[in-house]
Amino acid sequence: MISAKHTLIALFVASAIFSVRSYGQSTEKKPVKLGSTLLKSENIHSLTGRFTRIFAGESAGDTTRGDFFYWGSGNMHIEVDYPIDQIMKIQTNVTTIYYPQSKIAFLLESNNPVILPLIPGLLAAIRPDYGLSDLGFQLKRQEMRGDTLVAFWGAQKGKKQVGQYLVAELNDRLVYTHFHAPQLRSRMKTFFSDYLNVSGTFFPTHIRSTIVNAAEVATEMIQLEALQVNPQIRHQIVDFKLPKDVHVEKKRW
Amino acid sequence: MLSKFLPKGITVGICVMLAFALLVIPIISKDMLATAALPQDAQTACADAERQAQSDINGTTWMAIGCLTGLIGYLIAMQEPNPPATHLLGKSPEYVAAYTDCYRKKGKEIKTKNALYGCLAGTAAYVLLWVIVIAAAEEEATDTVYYY
Repeated sequence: MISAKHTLIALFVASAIFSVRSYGQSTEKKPVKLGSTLLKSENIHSLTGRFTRIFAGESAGDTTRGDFFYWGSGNMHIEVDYPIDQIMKIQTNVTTIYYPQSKIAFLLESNNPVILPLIPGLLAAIRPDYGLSDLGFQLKRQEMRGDTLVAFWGAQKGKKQVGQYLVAELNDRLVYTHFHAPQLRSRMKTFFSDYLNVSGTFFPTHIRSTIVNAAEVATEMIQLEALQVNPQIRHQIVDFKLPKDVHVEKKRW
Repeated sequence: MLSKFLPKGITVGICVMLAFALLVIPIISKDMLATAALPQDAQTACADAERQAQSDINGTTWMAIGCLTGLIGYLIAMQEPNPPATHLLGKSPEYVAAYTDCYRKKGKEIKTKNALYGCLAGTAAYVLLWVIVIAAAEEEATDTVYYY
């Protein structure tokens, strides 16, 4: 006969095994680098341009202007000239933020690849699958609504359902996406417009997003100018190094 | 009562874990919450970072992790999250410094707080389960009649 002591030991062992199994399954979704995949599929080796970003949240808003340089394997260099002179360089897991006037720099390291500013939305618009396949989504169904093709994207088989995408396309151009993630209490609507032919590829030059989440409602507008596909990026940018007299503060994200 | 049925090592282990969960963890969490007085730009950065962290990190998930994995879940929650770089674009050095610190603190706080609640709920469930099993075993021992 099994004694109470044996029952308790069995329960303890079973709970320990369950805990270990649960730990293995409970990992957070890692950010996906959209850009690197696109560079392979679209034969775009580099992309540069000028941007204006206007952000308006419930409590505050700001405008930022500058030039961006993007090249293979998720490298990005941004030179902000308004409202402050700032250089931001992102190389996979390391972000360098440099202030030339005050000679201060931050070196931010992270465990996961950094989510690039500006680029994901811009590049998603020119991919046939809008970059959603890389994010774990697959096309569920599509239908014509007047002159607009509306597609519904959900989680790929065997992948955790994070949310759903509604994608609207007009004349073969992405015009609208709506992401809804009930679990994260998050909703994001993005409008793509003012397409421009740059070396045979049509890029949206106006991207406006409204983000609604548990914390606030915010609007982001990105205006792009002087876009160039596959330009030669000068080596001062590719091999950018901080000057020696700069005070560097290292941080971990 | 537990020592009557369990090996001494396990009983001591349970007591230590409960004491840690009930006494030490809240003190650590409270300490992490403490933020020094900040200048105006840094205060804005801190508020922005905390809002962003709340939006990025799902507390319910961390409560479930804490509940299922107990103390291990709490320790995992101590690891720090990654904020997106967009929020630091065009911001002052003071803002960047405060934002990264506050995002990290808030992220850790959300995770650890929820994992702690989960850990405590899980521990309470284990204790309750054991009390029921022990009570049943005691009842069984009392009711048993041996015939010779």
